Amino acid sequence: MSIFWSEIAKQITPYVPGEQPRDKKYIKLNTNENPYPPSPEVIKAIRKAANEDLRLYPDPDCNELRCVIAEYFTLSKDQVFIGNGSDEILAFSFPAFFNPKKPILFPDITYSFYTVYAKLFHIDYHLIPLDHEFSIPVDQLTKKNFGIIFPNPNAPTGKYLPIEKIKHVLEKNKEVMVIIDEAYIDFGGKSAVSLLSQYPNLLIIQTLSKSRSLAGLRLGFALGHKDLIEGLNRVKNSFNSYTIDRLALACAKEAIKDTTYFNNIRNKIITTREQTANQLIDFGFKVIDSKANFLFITHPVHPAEKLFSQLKEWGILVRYFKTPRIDNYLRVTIGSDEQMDTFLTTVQKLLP
Amino acid sequence: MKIPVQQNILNLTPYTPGKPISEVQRELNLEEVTKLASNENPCGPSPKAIQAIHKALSEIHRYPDGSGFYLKNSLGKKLAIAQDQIILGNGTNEILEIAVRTFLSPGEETISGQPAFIIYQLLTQSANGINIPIPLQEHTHNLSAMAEAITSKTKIIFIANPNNPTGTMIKQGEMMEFLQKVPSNILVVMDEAYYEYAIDEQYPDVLSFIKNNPSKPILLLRTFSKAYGLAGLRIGYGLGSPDLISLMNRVRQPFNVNSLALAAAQAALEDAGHLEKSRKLNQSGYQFLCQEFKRMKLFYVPSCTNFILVDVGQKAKEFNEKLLRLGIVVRPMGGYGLTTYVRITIGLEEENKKLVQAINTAIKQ
Repeated sequence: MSIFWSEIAKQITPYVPGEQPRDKKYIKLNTNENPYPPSPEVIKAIRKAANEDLRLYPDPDCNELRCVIAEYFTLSKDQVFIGNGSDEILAFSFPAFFNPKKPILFPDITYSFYTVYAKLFHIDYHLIPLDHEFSIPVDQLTKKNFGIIFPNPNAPTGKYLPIEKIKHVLEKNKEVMVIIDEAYIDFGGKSAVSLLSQYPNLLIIQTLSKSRSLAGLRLGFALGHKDLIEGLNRVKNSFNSYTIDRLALACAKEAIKDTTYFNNIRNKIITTREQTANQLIDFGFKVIDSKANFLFITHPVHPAEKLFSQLKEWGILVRYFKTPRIDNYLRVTIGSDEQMDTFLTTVQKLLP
Repeated sequence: MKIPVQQNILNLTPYTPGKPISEVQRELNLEEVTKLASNENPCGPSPKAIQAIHKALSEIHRYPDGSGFYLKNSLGKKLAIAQDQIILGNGTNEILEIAVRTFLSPGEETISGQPAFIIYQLLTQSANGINIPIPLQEHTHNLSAMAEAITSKTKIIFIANPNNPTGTMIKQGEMMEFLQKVPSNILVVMDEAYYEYAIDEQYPDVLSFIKNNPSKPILLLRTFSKAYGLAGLRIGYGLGSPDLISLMNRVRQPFNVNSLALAAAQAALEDAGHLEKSRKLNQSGYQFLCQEFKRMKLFYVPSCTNFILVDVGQKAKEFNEKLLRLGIVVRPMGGYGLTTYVRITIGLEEENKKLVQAINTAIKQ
């Protein structure tokens, strides 16, 4: 079959999502899901929309949802794009804004999808090495490039870049696209949305999978200048007009509107994160300062890979990446207080 | 705009999907609108699919099962095929996209019927490929002309069987002969979106061909959007050799299908009774409409799907607007080069009657 494979397919190493074993019931702290269900208003909306009308195609323009999101961020509707998960928006962004043979920049340790998509769409890239504290070295993002993409907070480190630094990056890169992937921004960071009016080359991507507890529904959105949104629409409509299903459209509005529930859940997760981090530090772990719904941790004595397997035996799944520089780290999603208690007691047992 | 956009993207004219009912209603200030434009199932989905959605809600904060294990398991049993021969997509549209991304390199050619589903052309163009359109013959794919169009650059052949927007099909003998003839370094994408409606005995069994000819790269596509009444959920599947599917899985996003769609599709698949009911309703609707078209002396293309292509003898665009004002939405086919044709989805009994009345009125206007 290899003769049959396109040049692109040959070069791709697919993204590997966290494992979802079926052999027993695990405490899943490996895919950065929200441990809490979505707002009751969301559930109500899905129940209401799950009817005969599912026979009908959804609104391909997602008009109502775009209005609600625009209102939430005080933008206009034509500054909002909706995707089947933020992964899909990334997949549209690469061909829409980056060009073959014109290298873009992203961190060496980051969301592994960027490499996948760069290869898929023939985009060259230069990796910017994180510093020894896993911070993105902002000064290196000022070198000659044809586009920049990075998550804030970064994954899998959880490390956050303050808005002043983002502004610095944008000031030095006014002629190229800057894409900021804010999947984890709601857990203590400040969104760069406030900078959109000053920088027409800025695209912000967010998701409802994390802070709004809708990983199962696949919904992400992008915010930016209307010309950028039009670029995304061109790409989308050349592939597939109906990417977002009716149930997602019906309930996502409610997820955005119910700010009380949203604030409650994210504050709970932030509190649990801080408590868990303190405990882990007491156990001798080094914990990278996180503004996400996960912690990136390493222990000076106990190898991460071994801890990972031991935890699995005890019914707890965390994420381990066998990647240079981070192969002695574990990424631990913040679950409920109860789940984190079990996690911490188990870890304590495993450390002699 | 200062930001550079790739030239092949700039060259695209995006696909225009049918208007949602609410939009038509608002624009024309109509109380009731009958939508017979997008080949949706008028019976709706199986009630079991709705139940499955309610049941799946408690896990909605978790990522979907990226492998689609349970749905593939049901499909595998029903179709007697291994799970590694199945790929799931956010509608079959996404599987088409994945196939093009996986197999088509810039400069290579695809072959498709003209007119056929317009996405084949758009996808080719967006991947910097060249689409070779082969005109239909008597509203049916001209397989011998398609075979003759094969060059050293050909990589993918798209065949919709039954075809959209004509509703015609290629028969078993002809299809098998064609599939044998296509060289093994060319992918044949067999789009069977309307498979469940095609009850003709001569309808080709491409699935068996795939099972018996593992070295032939064929991708068979089916959907839950049509006969299963789940267009609103976006879910379809592809079948092929394990090699082919595993390559496409490299390009597929890990969580491309949402968990409610997975649950609903599985339940819909297992409700054979509902599917049979949908088929029967479609059959009687088809017979009724054909009879009426004959009576009105309107030429139509005999269809084995849930839609009929009809020549209304006047500009389809204007005819369509007349129907709209009468509260009926159909699809004018001018964009496909069929300037006097509309495509009409077969509806419920009442809807079909209302349609016939409206056509009668519109023709006289």
